[in-house]
Amino acid sequence: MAKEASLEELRFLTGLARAAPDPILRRLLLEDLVWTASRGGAQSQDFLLRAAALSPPEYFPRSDLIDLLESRLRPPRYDADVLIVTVKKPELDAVLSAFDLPSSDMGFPIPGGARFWRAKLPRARSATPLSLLITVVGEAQNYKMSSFMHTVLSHCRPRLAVLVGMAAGQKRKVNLGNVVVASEVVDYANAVLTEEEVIPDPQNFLVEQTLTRPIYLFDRIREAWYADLHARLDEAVRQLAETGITLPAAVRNRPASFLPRLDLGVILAGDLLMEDESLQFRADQLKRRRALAAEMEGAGFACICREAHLSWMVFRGVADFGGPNRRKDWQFVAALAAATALRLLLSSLLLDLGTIEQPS
Amino acid sequence: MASTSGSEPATYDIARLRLAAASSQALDRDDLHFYEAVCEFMGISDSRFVGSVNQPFHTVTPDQTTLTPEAVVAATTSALKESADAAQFIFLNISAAVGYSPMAATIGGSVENQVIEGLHNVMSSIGPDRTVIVLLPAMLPDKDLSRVVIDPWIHAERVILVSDDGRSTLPTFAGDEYRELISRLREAPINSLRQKLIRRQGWFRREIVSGGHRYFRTLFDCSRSVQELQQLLLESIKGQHGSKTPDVVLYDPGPSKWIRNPLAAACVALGLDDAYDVGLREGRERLARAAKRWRRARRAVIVVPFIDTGDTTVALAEWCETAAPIEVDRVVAVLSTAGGSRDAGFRRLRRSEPPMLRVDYFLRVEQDFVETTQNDCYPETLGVPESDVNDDPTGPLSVYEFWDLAIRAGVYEERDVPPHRASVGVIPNFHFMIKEHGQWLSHRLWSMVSDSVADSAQSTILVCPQEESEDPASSTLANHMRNITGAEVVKVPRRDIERVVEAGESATALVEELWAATPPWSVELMGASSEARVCLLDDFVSSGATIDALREIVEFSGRSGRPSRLKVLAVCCIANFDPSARTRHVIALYEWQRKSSQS
Repeated sequence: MAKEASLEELRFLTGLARAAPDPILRRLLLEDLVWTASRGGAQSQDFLLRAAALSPPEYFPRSDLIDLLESRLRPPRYDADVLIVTVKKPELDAVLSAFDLPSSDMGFPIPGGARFWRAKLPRARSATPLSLLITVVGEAQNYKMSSFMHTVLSHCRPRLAVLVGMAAGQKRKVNLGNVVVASEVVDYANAVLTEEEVIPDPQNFLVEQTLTRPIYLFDRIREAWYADLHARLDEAVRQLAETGITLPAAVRNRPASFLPRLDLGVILAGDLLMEDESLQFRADQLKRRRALAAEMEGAGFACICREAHLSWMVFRGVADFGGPNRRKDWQFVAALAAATALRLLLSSLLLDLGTIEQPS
Repeated sequence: MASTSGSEPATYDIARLRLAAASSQALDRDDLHFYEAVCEFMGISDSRFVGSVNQPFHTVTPDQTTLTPEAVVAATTSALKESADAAQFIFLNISAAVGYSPMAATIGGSVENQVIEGLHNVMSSIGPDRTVIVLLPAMLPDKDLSRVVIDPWIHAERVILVSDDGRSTLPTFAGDEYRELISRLREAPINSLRQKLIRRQGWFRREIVSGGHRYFRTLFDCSRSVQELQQLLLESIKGQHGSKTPDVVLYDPGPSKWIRNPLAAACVALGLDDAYDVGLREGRERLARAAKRWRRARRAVIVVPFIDTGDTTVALAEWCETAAPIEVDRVVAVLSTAGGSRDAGFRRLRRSEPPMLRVDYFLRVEQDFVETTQNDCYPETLGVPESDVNDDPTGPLSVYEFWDLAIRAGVYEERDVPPHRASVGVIPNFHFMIKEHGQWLSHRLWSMVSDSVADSAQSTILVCPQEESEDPASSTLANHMRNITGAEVVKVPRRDIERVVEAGESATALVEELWAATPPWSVELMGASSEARVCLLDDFVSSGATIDALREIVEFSGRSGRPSRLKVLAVCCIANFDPSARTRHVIALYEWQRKSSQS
């Protein structure tokens, strides 16, 4: 997939097209300009208008120009019941696998440089499948998540947004591969710096209780979760050579031996990559006994969802313990455990979107 | 040794073994000439090949070669067992110079022991009148355990060992002639250096002494030629025609960090102290400290990666002579923008005082400059950012990079349009782009392929169309990819691909027919390792029909008699004109949606 062009590059293409003495070359440059600019954000689309102005009508028809102007007034919208947001590649791979999409599926671009994957999820006792949009941020940190979600939410309006992926777990309370569903996300890195000390000033984001309540019933569908998870792990093992996914040896050799737990708990989310095993210390400092995991995007995600009056949840699989020499072989497995748990909650109607208000 | 009668030619076959390689390969007439010459060196004047040229090789990938010793033993045993019954002599060739193992020079070590173990396993069952000639990179020492194991066979002349330096266990073997033959066949390192020279394109600012600046367009990078550079530097520093080896080597890498390792290795091989980096303050201080210990004047050679006018090099030589009691009698430059000879030439530079400074260079290269007043000086006229000499961008080409290349190459109506589709219209002259900048494009493309699907070039097979046109862009790109990365290339004639495209529903039957005719590509794919990672390669992707047909051909491998199916992991190309089609995993250096590709 090519990198998204910067505004400077679009300016260069426009200048080159304008200066090109050869009409054949100019046409080729304009073709690229139109396509490249149409994949960018609102500012990039200004270049489309310049391309239109530079192009003879036979290869930039007036109807395309009118469509372009109209699209600037009404940006495209994509309907979906649930928006699933991932951050890194192993998380995207896991979600694609959990929702039956091949890892080779490249999704489709939306203006602003983001990319969507579309999936349908059949539901028990319902003829209408849930429509899902899946996306990937590509970079960690809360502020990047917020800015990315701003772009994404300008093109879709789901009923529920779910952040799915991996996290560091608290060693004494969870095992590798366990799933933590957030009851609350706490931005623990927020602090006041005084001359004497650093005073933590955490920002809290509570998940709606209507969404967390069904998690207590998850034990009833645990066997179905394991069956689905093991089937997808078997498939991942079969395709290892093609996908290049990394799996821990124990899971690779005996997928059925992997029996994770799912817990409701507090997730700490700060712009600090934890490699000092300080999760327990930070939880104690914040007096959050139920802090089970830590990651770097949940607070940015929660913040913009709250701002947009959008229901949200966070599902995290434990991929390491935030210590030195973190290994990465649990990342896919942990994210897959989280993604399959979400899938089952949605398809079994345990997580009923009917309880969520339709957003305006 | 197998007995040969005077009237009948001796018969021989070649054990099909390839180590540290992804695909098989077809034998050709040159291979047979080589083995017949080796027979002559053994005293057999008339010999005849009795094997089949299309028999696939047993291949073992680099990873397996290193990590799975038993795979090497098993492949050796199978290769020997499958040699023709009628052959009196069987060649087992793992020579670094002329063998079939592309990584033989680096795998070394215990792999030879595993080959010997495979040979030992099979010796008692291949018949008493047959002799195996093992062509090795280096002779096994007398007391080496593997050597001891096969000593009885060696004494009986049932096994003959021959090494690249001409040594043999057969006392009458013409070792000098063999060594000379090897050195003629071994690719000259200077050619290889040119083939692997990456010419990165960009806008590199250079200040002008009289004020202002201009831009040079090419940054030269020899980082893919470590072995060649090491050999060339070693020979050049050592000196020829009676000149003496210097006492000290000084160098100034500038932005070309690639000179450091091969130069250090060459110095070690010459028994010299490490080279002094006089481009760095620490290097100069170290040189000055070392100079205090020297009791008499020393001879120095200065090595530079690149020389243009020579002013900087002369200034450096004069500084060195002032700073330390040394005499700089020569400069060795890897690349030079001037000189009478294209390769392996020399120049003479004027110093402030005679004598002139001699510069020996390996390759003469072209360096283009653009003045800021020129219309095509894009940093000035279109705001293109200046390039950083210390940066080595990987991944796709930027808009600046692609269109800079395309404009210099020119655009034209697509020629040699495949019969199965309409022309995509005007396209950049990809053949010219690849001919001029193939090494750089391959370097960039490989950075994307290795990030995405293939971590080892030696385990990768690139399958591409073989064009019969005057502008064979795909084949040329494939050759560059092989030179730069070491990946195997398998070329499928365009006419075979077209037949598969046209066959439509009956494509599978046609592919089966093509495989059954055992063309060279089928032999290469048949013997490919089960661990091989296959990528399809073309100059550009449009409708995708060529790629789909190639995929059909490659993936039929599972039904062609191979134990496993080769799976295509990606398609790589310079330009993808249909990025909206998401059915293929296309790795492209540049992409935009052509209107003609949508229709």
